[in-house]
Amino acid sequence: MHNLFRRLDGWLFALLLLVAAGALGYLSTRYAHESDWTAKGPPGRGGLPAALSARQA
Amino acid sequence: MTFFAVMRLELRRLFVRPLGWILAALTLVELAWRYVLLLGNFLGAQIHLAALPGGPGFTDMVSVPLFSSLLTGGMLPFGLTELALVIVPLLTMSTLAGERNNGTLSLMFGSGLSAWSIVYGKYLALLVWLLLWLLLILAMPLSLAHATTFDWGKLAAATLGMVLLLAALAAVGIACSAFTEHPPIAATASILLVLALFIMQLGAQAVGVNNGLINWLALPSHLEPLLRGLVSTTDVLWFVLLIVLALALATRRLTADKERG
Repeated sequence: MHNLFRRLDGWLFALLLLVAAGALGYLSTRYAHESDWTAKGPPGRGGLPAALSARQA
Repeated sequence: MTFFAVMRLELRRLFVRPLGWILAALTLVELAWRYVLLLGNFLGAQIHLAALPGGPGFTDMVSVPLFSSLLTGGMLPFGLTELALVIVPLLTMSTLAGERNNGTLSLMFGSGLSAWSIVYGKYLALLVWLLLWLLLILAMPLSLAHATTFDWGKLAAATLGMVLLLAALAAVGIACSAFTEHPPIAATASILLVLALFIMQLGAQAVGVNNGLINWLALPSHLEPLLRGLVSTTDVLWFVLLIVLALALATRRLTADKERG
């Protein structure tokens, strides 16, 4: 019986950890912050640095 | 014995055993070959590239593609990412499984070490080894820093991606090693797990499934933006969550072992 509770405790810990990680992961997709570190900015911005594109927009 | 003692012991073990040196030497040779081929492609296309305003430069065509085949396809030898999927599990396989198999894990518990100091001490030692390995690989493109124009921001983002990937692979490897007694089983489980994370998105796309959860779980969807110079909190947090999850499970397993005696 003691072994069963110990095993159950282990599984519950893993489950709670997974749920917490899933919740944090979901929140990270809802409130994401992106930053472009390239000198040119991503394709489609006419080769201008990202900061410059933002200023011109 | 403290956490630092475990870290020092594991580091010494990594540097004394031939496995680490052999793996480092073989991977460096393979990556040097990839680097030379990428450099050849870049030099061959330089006349065309010069005509393109804002066209790809040395960082886009040589430095960052050295890290992963995700950007070049399968025409060249493996990149660092693909090699790490195999190398890191081989390095981590005996960290805890080997101790358990040799009976030294109970000795460590007997000396008053907590489960977390064993797990984190070994993890940090592995991380030091992996960062030194990454530094040696980075030295290849950096050796041409005086002769070409670098996109330092993109290289920094890609390097951050590589650091996070290596840290995550090491954590998964240690977790697999904590759950078994036999190092080969730990290595196999770790390779299969990271391979599943790596190819699950491709598998889903092959059968026409485009699920948000699968895309979020897949490793390439978090690594590729970093390699392209786009740093997002979602991607960084994914790696951090994987590391914390794996290390917490490993610590929990070792704590249970200690309680059981």
